[in-house]
Amino acid sequence: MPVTYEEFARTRLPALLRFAVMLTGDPHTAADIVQDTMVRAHLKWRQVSAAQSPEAYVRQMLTNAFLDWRRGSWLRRVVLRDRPVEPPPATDPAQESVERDRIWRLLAGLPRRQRAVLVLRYYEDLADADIAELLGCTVGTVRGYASRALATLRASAQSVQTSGGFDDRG
Amino acid sequence: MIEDELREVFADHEELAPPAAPLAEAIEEDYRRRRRRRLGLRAGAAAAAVVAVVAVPAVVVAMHRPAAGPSVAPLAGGTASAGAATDAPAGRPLTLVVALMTGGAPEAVGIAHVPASHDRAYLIALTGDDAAALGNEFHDGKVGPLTTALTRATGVTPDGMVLLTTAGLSTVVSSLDGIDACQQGGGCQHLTGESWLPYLRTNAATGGLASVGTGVLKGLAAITDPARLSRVLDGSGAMTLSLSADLPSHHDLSEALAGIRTVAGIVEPAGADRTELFQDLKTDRLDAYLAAHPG
Repeated sequence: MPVTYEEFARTRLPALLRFAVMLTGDPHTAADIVQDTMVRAHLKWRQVSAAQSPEAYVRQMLTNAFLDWRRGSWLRRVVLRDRPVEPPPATDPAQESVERDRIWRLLAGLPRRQRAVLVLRYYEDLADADIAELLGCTVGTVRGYASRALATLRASAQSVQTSGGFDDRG
Repeated sequence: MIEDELREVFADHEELAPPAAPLAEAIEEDYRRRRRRRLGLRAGAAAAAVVAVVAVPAVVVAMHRPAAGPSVAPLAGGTASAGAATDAPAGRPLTLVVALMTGGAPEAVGIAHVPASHDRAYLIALTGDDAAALGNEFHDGKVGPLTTALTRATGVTPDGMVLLTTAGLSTVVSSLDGIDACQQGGGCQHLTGESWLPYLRTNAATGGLASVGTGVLKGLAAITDPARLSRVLDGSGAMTLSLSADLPSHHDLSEALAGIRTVAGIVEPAGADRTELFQDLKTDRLDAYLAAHPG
């Protein structure tokens, strides 16, 4: 029996918000993108619910919304913001926590498709073939995005180790 | 392994996700509006049916990017300049409900209005029965009842809603090294991150929200370093919800807000002026109203 929109929203909205936060790095933009996506999904729910996996369908809509999202969206302008929100400072003083916070900031600097691939692979645990279908590209392209993104993160980590510290200005 | 670290990084930041309940309300409201429009049940003139609210005994004005002379008179708040102003794009009026929250309940409720000229904004502090009624409606944190009550009480059809916490605003005020809150005839008072909230509560009946709001906006407008402005605003924790399907696009909305040069604070009156202001708001003539009611 097809799931109703109300049931879907009630059970999946929190997870979609978390997914959007991983994509955007910014809770405000995440809320904006999720709202836009969910309204569009609601308006064509018959089509969405007929899909093999409504959740995968909506997740694809959400990912596309993220990839197409224009910089300087109204949400940021409303709060007069001109760049994504930084995550709150780490409360754990351990070096491990500092390192994770640093990686989170580095993610914000990746091209959107690279970041999306990392989120889909390491947060949503999707296989490369599923990511390729979701993004409308080949598996090779997905692996290329992932490879370049991971290389960027590794290079940055190596740079920190070499310099003995992390430049927190950026 | 960087891959393992990534999984941990994502898990660590799940807590950044905003609460789902208010967003679910906004989604429903947005959906209903878009669907009504699709079905042709909504009058074409709805896009112009923007504001309405309340009238004004006292007017406090803070200047944001002063440029081409506003028709509202600058009062005790004085002026503060910001970066170079751009030509304001004209368009449709825009109305946002502003809710200042304490522990999930509204501390103060106001309305921000950008007229079609898009070169100014009005911040209206609700102080009387409207504020109490809206506060009661919003006590359960649901956006729908609040906006419905607002429309019922004032005729205003909001396009969106801004949720701010008192803690977030305290952070902003502290980051600004305090603000000057001014009331016409009452002079100005410098407020800190600790003292603004007691001031707002003490002056709730006389529009403390307008005084504090314009003080904050004036402080923000004085920041010329975009990076610092961004840092200050990041501390606000503001959450903004779109409620209207009438907006041509998010981009157009951002353009409207980018052109704002003047911000006027307005306090809800208790008398007959309310009806007049209500009408002027609906016809996007707040500037004329303020000129006719200088205080």
